[in-house]
Amino acid sequence: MPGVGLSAGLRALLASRVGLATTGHNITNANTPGYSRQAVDLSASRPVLSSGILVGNGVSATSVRRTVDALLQRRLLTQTSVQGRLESRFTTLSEIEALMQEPDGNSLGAQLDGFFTSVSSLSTNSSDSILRTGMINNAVQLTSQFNQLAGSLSSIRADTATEVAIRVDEVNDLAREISSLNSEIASARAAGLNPNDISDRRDVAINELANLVDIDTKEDQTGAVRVLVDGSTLVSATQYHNLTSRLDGNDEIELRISGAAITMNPNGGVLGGLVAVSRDTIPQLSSQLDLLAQNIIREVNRVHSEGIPASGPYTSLTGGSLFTDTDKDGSFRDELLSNAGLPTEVVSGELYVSITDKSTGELTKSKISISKTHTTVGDFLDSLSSIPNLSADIDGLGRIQIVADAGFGFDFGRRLDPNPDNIGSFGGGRASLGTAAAEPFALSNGDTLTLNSGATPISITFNSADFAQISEATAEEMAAVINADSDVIATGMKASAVNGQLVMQTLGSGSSESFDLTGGTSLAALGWSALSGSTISGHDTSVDVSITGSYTGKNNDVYTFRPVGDGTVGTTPGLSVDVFDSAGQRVATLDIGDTYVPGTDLQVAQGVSVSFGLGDLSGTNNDAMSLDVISDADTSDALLAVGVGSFFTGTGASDIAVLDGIEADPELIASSLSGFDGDNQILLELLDLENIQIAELGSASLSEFYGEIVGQTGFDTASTVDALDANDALIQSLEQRQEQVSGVNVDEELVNLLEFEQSFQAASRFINVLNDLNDELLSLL
Amino acid sequence: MPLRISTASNYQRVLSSIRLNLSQLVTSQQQVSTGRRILRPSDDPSGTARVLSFNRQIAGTERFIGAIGLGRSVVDTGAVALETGSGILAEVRQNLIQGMNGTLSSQDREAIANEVELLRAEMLGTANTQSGERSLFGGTKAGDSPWIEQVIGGVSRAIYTGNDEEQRIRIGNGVEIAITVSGQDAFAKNEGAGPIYSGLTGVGQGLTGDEGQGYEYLTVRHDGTSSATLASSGIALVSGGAGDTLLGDNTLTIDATAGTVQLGTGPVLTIPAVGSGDLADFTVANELGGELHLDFSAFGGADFTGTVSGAGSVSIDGSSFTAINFAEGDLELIHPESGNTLHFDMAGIKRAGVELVTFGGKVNIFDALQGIVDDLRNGDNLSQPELTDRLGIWLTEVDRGHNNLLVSLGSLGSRSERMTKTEDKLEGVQLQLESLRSEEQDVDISEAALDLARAQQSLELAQASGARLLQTNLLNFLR
Repeated sequence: MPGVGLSAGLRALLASRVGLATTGHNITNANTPGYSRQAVDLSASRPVLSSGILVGNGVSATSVRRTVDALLQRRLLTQTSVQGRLESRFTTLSEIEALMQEPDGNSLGAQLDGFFTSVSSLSTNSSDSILRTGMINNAVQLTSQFNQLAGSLSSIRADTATEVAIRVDEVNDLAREISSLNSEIASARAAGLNPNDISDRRDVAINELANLVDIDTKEDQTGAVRVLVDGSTLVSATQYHNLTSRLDGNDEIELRISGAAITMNPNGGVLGGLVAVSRDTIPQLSSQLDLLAQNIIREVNRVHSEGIPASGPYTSLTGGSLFTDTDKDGSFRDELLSNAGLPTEVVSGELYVSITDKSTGELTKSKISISKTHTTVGDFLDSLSSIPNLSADIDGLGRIQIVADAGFGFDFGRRLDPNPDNIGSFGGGRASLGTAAAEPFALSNGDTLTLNSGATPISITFNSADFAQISEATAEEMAAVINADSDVIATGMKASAVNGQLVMQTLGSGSSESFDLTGGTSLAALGWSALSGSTISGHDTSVDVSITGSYTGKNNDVYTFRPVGDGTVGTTPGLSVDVFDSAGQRVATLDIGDTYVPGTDLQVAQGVSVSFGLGDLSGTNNDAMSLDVISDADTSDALLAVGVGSFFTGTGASDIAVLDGIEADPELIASSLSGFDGDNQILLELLDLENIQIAELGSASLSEFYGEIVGQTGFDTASTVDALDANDALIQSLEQRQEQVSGVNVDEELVNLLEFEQSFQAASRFINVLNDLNDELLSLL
Repeated sequence: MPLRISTASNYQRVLSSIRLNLSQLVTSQQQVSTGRRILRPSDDPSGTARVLSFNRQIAGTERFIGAIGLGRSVVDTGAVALETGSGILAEVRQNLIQGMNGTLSSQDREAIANEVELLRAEMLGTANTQSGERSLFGGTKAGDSPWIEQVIGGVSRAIYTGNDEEQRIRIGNGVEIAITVSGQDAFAKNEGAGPIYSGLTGVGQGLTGDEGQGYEYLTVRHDGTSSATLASSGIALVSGGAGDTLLGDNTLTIDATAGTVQLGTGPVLTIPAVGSGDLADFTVANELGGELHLDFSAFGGADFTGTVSGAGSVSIDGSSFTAINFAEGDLELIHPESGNTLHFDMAGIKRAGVELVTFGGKVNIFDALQGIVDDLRNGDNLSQPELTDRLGIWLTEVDRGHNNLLVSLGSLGSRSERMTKTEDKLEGVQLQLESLRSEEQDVDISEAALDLARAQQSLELAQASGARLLQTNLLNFLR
């Protein structure tokens, strides 16, 4: 009986000591991160049978356990991953945000403003060389800002990859730690022990891992935890795998478990954030900057390529784009122009080329047709080279090179030809007879045309062989047949095709020049039946035509001028000139009869004016001249694509630059539309670019689109900050709840300490009492 | 059951509330010290978008204001030049009116001619005014002097090498304003009408239209006088008619009863008395002043009516002459150097002389001044009334030129005014935009200061309450 009591007392002492030790452990670990409060489980010891009754045998400490809420821990794990992702995203985004230097700094937007402002300044005095240099400087600043932004973005992206590699190492360290803790826990458990502190350490490691990458955890019966990342096992019950990162062919970060075939796409954690930033955020921003740069390049070049430098038309130009030998047969020439690797698209359209004779100032306009599906690079070069005094070729680097003959200059402007009557078919000095109608002419095989040039009779026969389709003969084909006739050559005559009309002329000028239209079976088809037998004479005074103004119409057109009636300008009452557009609609009737003072300007239409000098016009002989009125000298966008007459070069934000030639010589800024040094029309049109809505930018203007880029970055950053704040609050509340369960309250532990101290003292007193009882008994002996 | 609060979380809570309040304090302080509410786009993305849009608009407005500033100096320089020109022309007009005074001696006129010549040079300088390196009156040909002098057919003419365009600048979205007037408009506005003849010789305008600008002198020369019937009256031509200037057919009427002689419809004169000094060389003139010298020494004293004809030739360049066919109604003469083409009706020619033909409305002011100089020097030996007539023609041209110059000056003035108004308006817009941007981007200072004070106070409270909380510990009471 006393033995029972003593052992109960002993147990009570021991249990109190366990309690005291645990409380001490709690107090000392009150500030240890990840420490879970431990509690001692006390229970009454098995009673002993004494004298036929069960007697209580005191207390025993059955276990020391952690107080944890597993569900809460799991929630925390998830939010920790979210936190990791948001934090790494925020770091990168705020770095990008700082790059933009908005809204106050030396930003791209400010540079864009600066560029347009320098254009505006130059437009107030387009021949001022200082202002010209100013525009170049501003353009260079704009391009280098683009380059710098693009460069910084790609270096941020590279830094991201480096950081991913460092984080992957951390992941691997943690995986190893978890794995080794797993084994320790399993072996402790197998020995029936409760490895509380080791479990705490593992929880801390798992939490750290969750901050790096989003994970799934599963605890098995042995107490070991399996860790899964994106469905792949990183840590199993007994071992761990290494995570590896590398850059793939597209410079994108690729994560996989070492040796595994499939790549992983973590969504959460620092890694998830870094991968997302590197894979989506930065490339998206880069491509938007590229888009902005491309549109600036394209729109500025489109306007600039139709201008003329202050120093006059170009004598030679080299394109800014490289041709690509798409089919790799060693030659560029057989590639379609639209498929020759040029940075912008070539569509079907027309290109007007103006050649200026520098000594006389005479302007000749030529038109090249370009088909998206048929025109090859070779065709394009040949068309350019077929223009008199111009030649085009490809240089060693694969760029187009256009050169004018000495004494000539070329440009792609849309200015009006001041004197479009190049062959003198409109009141010129030559004896001239044109057809009333334009091609096609319904000839039949063997049709003839007979003339008398002086005393020489000329007979021309039109044979099917000379025509693609003789019933639809073109003026060009007919002129070729006529000009091949030896009598025509011998008597100094010539046929020409003017805007689809056939014109028969003497080569000489003056009233002594004449020829007779004597007949032939082709007259009906040519509309000359009524003129059969008439004599066509030249004039001593040719009508001087002078075109002024600039065309304001929206579409390219051809104005054809035809006199109504026969007579002398400014003399014959009722004499007038009708002007038709290419659709055959009359756009103006100009009275040049007796009330007209020769040489006075008359309005035609759409900003075009004309004056006629003294001389004779003949409606009967179908005098006519045609004037190209151009609103877009390059509807094919071929110039833009080959980079001829460019201001900017490059394909995106990283390589946008001012064309070398222009940077070196600001005089080459094609500021003028008319070719006069004080004309600033091109600059004014450049200014308009600031506000035009561009379809490629989602119908935003350049600055609006830029604003969207900045706004988007700001919004991304702000929403990350907001999410971070919200998540912080959530984590805090979860942590608080966890602290409620697992945290150590020193006051509470002090109370526990007193409690265990007192129970120890009580147990000691109990033993003392038992001892006294024993002594009492022993003294009886 | 009350919440369990762990000691660590107690510390944590105090720490985080201090942190939060501190960060608020720092933010407030930053806002107050920079005056900015938005320091980076993420501070307020939609606000940033608006600020950016304001930035662009403000830059655009500044750009227009800058362009107006640069442009207006050009407009004003042009206006000053035209004002100078207007003053010159007023002076020319004064001189011209003085020169038309019949009492002037040729020396006096020469002095006036010299004065006008100087004024012309001054006018040319004005028309070639440059601002910076740019000519103000050359249209869009800005590099060279637009007006150059060339001697054409012995006459110094001013040739315009500029164009009719205007230099324009942009002073608003899609709003352009011209900052120059073309030299053509200011100094040589083309208001073409038909040519004007001074009417000296009686030559008329032909049937066909004429083409050209400036003016030409048609030299009508007297080559000889003939009269088949005159001999019967005893009157003879003096020196075979060499000194005569009459041309065409003129009726000579002698009324013996009245003792008068009349040529055509010219003045009726008294036949000189025998013994008078001019008996052997008496001059009669027709209605245009074409003179016929007659020798009355052998005059028979009978009435006489007969035709006296003057043959002549004409030239537009003063060197190549064409014999006059008085039946010609449309003689074409082209000046070989200036290219001016004129058609003349010869039927009315009655005297020799130099006919001034101006292309009305197409004479530039410099050529008009040159004409004045030449005519004041009277190289054509005109009589005073003829000279006055001619100078009258020039006066009309000078007045026309002056009017056009004033119209150009007026349009420069109104442009300058419009630019000023636009600038004022833009500056107003600018202010408004800046205040809108400031509203968006800047902190309300009073509010920010209040926020700062509040943040400071809450931080202090957090610190104080934290200190109290942390001091409370059971250990303090356990002995």
